[in-house]
Amino acid sequence: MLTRFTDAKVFDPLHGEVGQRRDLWVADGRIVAPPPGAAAAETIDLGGAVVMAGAIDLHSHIAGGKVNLARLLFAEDHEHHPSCEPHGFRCGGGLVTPSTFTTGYRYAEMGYTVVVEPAMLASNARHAHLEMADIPNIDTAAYVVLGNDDFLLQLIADGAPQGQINDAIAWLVGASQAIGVKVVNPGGINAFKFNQRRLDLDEAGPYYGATPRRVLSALAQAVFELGIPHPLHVHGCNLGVPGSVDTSLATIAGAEGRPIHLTHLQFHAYGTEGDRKFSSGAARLAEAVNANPNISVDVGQIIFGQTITASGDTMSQYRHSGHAKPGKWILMDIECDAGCGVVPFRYRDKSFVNALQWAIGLELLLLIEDPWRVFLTTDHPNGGPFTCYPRVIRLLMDKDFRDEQFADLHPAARRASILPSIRREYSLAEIAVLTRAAPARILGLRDRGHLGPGAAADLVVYRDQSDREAMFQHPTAVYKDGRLIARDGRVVARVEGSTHVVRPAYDRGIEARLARHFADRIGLRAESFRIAEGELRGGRGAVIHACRTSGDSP
Amino acid sequence: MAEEPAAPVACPFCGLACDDFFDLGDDLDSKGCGLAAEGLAIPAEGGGPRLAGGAVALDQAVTAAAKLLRGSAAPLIAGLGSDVDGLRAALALAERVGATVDHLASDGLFRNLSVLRRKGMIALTLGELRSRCDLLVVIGADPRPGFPRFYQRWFNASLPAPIGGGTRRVLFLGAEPLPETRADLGEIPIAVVPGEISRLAELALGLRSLVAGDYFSAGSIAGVSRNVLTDVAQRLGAARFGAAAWAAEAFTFPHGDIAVSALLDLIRALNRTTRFGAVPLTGRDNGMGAVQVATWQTGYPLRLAFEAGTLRHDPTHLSWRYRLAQADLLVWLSSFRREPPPPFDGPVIALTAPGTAFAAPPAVCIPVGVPGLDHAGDVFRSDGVVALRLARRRPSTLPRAAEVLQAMNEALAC
Repeated sequence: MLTRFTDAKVFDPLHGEVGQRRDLWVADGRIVAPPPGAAAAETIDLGGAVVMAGAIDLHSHIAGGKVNLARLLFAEDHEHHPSCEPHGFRCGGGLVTPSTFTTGYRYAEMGYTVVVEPAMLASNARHAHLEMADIPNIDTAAYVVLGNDDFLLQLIADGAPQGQINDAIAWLVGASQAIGVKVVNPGGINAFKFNQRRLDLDEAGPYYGATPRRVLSALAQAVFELGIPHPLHVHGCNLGVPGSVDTSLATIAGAEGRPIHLTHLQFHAYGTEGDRKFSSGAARLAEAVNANPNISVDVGQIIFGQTITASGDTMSQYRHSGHAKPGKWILMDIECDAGCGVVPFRYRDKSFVNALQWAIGLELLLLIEDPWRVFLTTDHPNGGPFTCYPRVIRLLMDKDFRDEQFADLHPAARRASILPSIRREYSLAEIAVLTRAAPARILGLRDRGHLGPGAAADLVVYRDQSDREAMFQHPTAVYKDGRLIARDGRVVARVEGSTHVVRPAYDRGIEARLARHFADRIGLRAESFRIAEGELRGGRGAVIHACRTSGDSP
Repeated sequence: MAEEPAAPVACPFCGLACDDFFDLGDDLDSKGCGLAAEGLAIPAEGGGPRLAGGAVALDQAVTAAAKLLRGSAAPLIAGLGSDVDGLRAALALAERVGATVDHLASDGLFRNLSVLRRKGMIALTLGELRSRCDLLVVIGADPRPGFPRFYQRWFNASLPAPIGGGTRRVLFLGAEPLPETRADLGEIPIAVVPGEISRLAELALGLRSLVAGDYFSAGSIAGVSRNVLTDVAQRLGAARFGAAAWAAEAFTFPHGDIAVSALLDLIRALNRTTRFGAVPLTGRDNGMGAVQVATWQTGYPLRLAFEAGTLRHDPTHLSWRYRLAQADLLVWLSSFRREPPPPFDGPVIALTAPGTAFAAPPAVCIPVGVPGLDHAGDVFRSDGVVALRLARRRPSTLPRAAEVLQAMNEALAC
């Protein structure tokens, strides 16, 4: 069926469109070129409303073991935030740990149509995929967490050639049905299992003797050489520690030009200056990001209020467990693979540290110049719930609003931040880059994040309002693959999403060593671990994205 | 539809989900496991659906079930022994008809879950137990009967040495190990500290005090002398990577959850200086899968009720045993075992493994396939982290529980 959307004010940065008014044509869930002479079966007049592609969140903890543990630990969230949907849509609830149906509906209502679970443990991948299949209305994907598993650390300790490390990683990405690779506190989660409580970038870890720098470099090189579109997704060492800015700067330098993505950088951007030995490292980090085009980052903006932190970084989560509010927390060592820690937390604007964290996130978003290399995240739910994105967008677009909010902060935090001196306001075109075009590009999703012919017809229609929070909270219409799923900020249809993956090639010679590891250490067969294509999305399989071959540029 | 995997191999008949039972082309072999043997003996034919004992076609049975569901003011969906797809279908049906939902084995699950919700947990998975643990402490009755190959597969002398070295040791706290367990463990040094297991909370808190170096004045606790307790505390603290395993289903003494809570306090104290974690053994009849699916779909781990478009969770008053007295219709789901429904004063819709013997013919009886024998599916292991894919292992005409429940749901939508 051919549908014509007339008089759209199009923001499609990939094609250089910044508010041009034109018609959009959709057939069979895809954007098509205006068909000469064809008559549309349906015509929808947008009356000059703003249209962007569906938004893409490249880092939000929405599914898998630690997310479900967070729901279990923090049942209060579900008691306080029930969610009764229109008939037939399935109920649920939760604000910071929403259930699967609620997750899909709330994202769709804000115009998000693709969300990446950023910390899928290989050993928990089947669970993550089963759960993602129950998230309606959005597409999903996941990064598999590697670099604390005993298999890769042993390979590195043995001095295995890079090719072998590449093969192992390619096998693990395929077996776990991932779209990319993440490393969390490289080697640190493993070191914590040997009772080591801290591991710095150049410190040799216990038993395997590998430094986090070595682990990072082996993984980043592997992801690059395998041609996986998304660069290694790095949750660095020393999360939350004053002085972590130096570790982050050293990590950027240590990348030596290889592409890496530094995630929730706000949590790794702390200096040790001032009376309280806690300061903003945002300006130094932004300068380094601006100077190194191989680096991309997402921010991990904090939102004041109650949330829960769920992370694979057991070492950091145990260190922070004393700050749990309410005072309960979970820690788990997992399958010679990784770990998880779940700690509820309340960010307060009257706390010096929390207030400065809030300012640091915004400083990063505003001081990093290239909107193609910085991404809006709250590291949901670790910095706050994803439903607060429209508020953050307003903070970026509206200097007066930002100043108002800033005025409420702890006075010492206000003195310690340069935020009021930053005049920048994001334009609508920059927001379209930040939330659509750039994440699609860095994930390798060629048919998302833009409105050119061949793109998925994920369309979001906004009424242009000066209150940008209201505008982005409640789009007037959201289409997923050409179908209307939300109107005026309320879900109106339930549709199935798809799962996106990559399948890097590898030499099957690695399989014998993997089989031995599984048999000896994991106590399962490698074949039991591997997720077959037919298991995904109730048998519908995955959308497979191409890896770069040697001729392509990254 | 994409292809199915070539060789999925897991066994669904206890929370360990062993994947070494079957080889492609081999006959089914229970490897000496009583629970697996029992499961494998379930016949592939169930005599077809019946209404009050009389044979009918499947669609007639579904129509009759839908009629009962439509007329029910307080339905209870319990048993809940099914694979992930069956659990999804059960929850969807529960929302449609406004039912209470709970799992057969939820008493044990909730002794752990209630503590997790109040205070949290420190745990480790079976793979960590196998490859890193140097001290296993088994708390209370030996869990081997419910988890027959626990020691064989996860902790014994024939496994490769723990990563980083060290010697495996095992300590039984509160009860003697079974003779079969001693055989499974092989050359591993075994220590046994008998005690009054019904006073486990006191025992664990005493040990916690000793581990933490707090003031401790008791001469003995729960039948264990101060000297022995001091020795146990020293052993615990000397472990490099310790594990405390328990099957909370056996904590049937009053306030079994308080014992779990005290064990968590002990484990937290140990983690100040070394690494230690719990291995809660649970999850028969895919109970851990039921917890996972219910939690991701609703936010609550079972014992939940759909009422007029809202969700309610009550860990006490929505347990299936409690609700039996208030419900006017029971939907009983048991696809892994021939477990008949409990005595119930009202109509029963039974979706059970073929060959189930009933005290009285249920109003509607639909024999369903066994996941892992008659059809593919997914189950969760006891640790809740690892989910395993089950394969169809034999020719079968039995419907999947998921299909039957979906058919009822669709019949109600008309």
